[in-house]
Amino acid sequence: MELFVTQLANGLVIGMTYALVAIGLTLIYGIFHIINMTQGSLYMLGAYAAYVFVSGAQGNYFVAIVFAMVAVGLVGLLFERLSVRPLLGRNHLVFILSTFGLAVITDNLVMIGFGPEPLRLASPIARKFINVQDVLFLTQQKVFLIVFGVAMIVLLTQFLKRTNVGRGMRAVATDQNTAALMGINVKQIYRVTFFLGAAMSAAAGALVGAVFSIEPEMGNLLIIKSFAVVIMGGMGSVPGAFLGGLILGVSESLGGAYLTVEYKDAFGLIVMILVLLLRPQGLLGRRMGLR
Amino acid sequence: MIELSGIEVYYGRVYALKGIDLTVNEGEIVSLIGANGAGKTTILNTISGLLRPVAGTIRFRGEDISRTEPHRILSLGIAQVPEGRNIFPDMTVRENLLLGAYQVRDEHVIRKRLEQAHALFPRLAERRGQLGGTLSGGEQQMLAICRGLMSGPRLLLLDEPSLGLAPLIIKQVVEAIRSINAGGTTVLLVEQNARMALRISHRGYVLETGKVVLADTGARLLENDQVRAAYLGQ
Repeated sequence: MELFVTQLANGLVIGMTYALVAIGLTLIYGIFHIINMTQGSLYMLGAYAAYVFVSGAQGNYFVAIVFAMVAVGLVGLLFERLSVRPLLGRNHLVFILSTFGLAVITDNLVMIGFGPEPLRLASPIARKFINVQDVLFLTQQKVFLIVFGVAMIVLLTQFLKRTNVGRGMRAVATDQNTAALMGINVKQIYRVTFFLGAAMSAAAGALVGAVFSIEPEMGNLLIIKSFAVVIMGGMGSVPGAFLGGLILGVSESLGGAYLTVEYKDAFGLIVMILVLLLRPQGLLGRRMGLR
Repeated sequence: MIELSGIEVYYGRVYALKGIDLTVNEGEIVSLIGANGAGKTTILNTISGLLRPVAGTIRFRGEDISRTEPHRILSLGIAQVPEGRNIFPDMTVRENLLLGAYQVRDEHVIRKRLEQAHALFPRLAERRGQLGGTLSGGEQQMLAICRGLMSGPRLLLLDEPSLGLAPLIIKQVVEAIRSINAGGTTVLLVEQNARMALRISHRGYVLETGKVVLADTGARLLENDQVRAAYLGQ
């Protein structure tokens, strides 16, 4: 029982990380049909931005999360300008290459700047435990990660649903030309979307960076898994990415605990294949558009 | 109000508009008639900024807008109701209308225009919470027209508003176009239904393969032998 609950909680922590990165991916895919391979690097940059803020500038960890989201959000804008804008109108596969190339460059620049060895992102709540009924011991950091992640996702879905710009994003996802006829500045929607996607990834990096350690290549496997999450949840579906992320995290965690830890990374992908066999459009997916 | 001179447009590789000259004066209803592929929709999309002309100018209230982006053109006061309505199917009637008012910041103005839309087509008020995709063709057309009006345009471009609608609904749409025009909005109307279009228009242009071949008042075009033979089936 203890093992199960603990592994379930750890799975949710990892799953939330996947979900946050996957939401950025699915948002950009849902609106522009572009697969943004820089999402893993933005996650890594989020962790390093928080690290610089805490260790370099002696800043507060919680402020560092917000700093990382804003700073990396701006990097997301720069990435859009560099790897997407010049190629608009081309085949959508081109963007996989251009964003992947930019991701490799980014990871290597960080490696030059900070070195390849893992660094510790210090959080004041990383070593404080919460004891639930003597069954579950969790660090406050992990609880905070889940709560913060859920809050971000709720905020994002409400933003999409209720605000003018959110409506504009959904309109562009459905039909760019008609959206432009409504007076929506489609280029501005690109900027908003890439900013939001980058900020979500950065939040994940800054949160999970204080659970484990941070290193320049921490986003490499994550982007692949987040992509699996997006496919599993349904391409373009924000709730789908959330659900898919949690399922992937929990199945990896439980599979690693009860079956074999060597194949931990494979369980998630097996679950993805099973989901796709039953629902080829993904858990909450339809054919097109953003939800 | 708007003046196109020597407009040439390529649609992909097709030389779609071969030097179009046309004018719409303030307060008019002007219709463009012609067969499929004559370039009617291309003219509207060029005015709206979705297509860029390779030659020619478009002057709207004195300003050259031939290279202006679509969202700026809307803010200058030109709205388009596109062919096939292009309602956002996963959004409610209300959300579709609010999208039409995307650039409007003043809540009072938005509320007033929503009321006007509901007055123009009471059916939309009944269906405000329904998804756009679940509306009938006629209701979608009503919604598309009202969505176009939500920005408070000076010039409304209407692309085939009667397409695929039952005669009774067409009558309602025609009444609405008249009342929109009576309210001070200038209308540029593209129609396959030439008879209906010319009856309500002050003036009309006949297009053939990217060129204007006839221009006259609506009444005189209805009497024109060529027009009668080619577009009115007489």
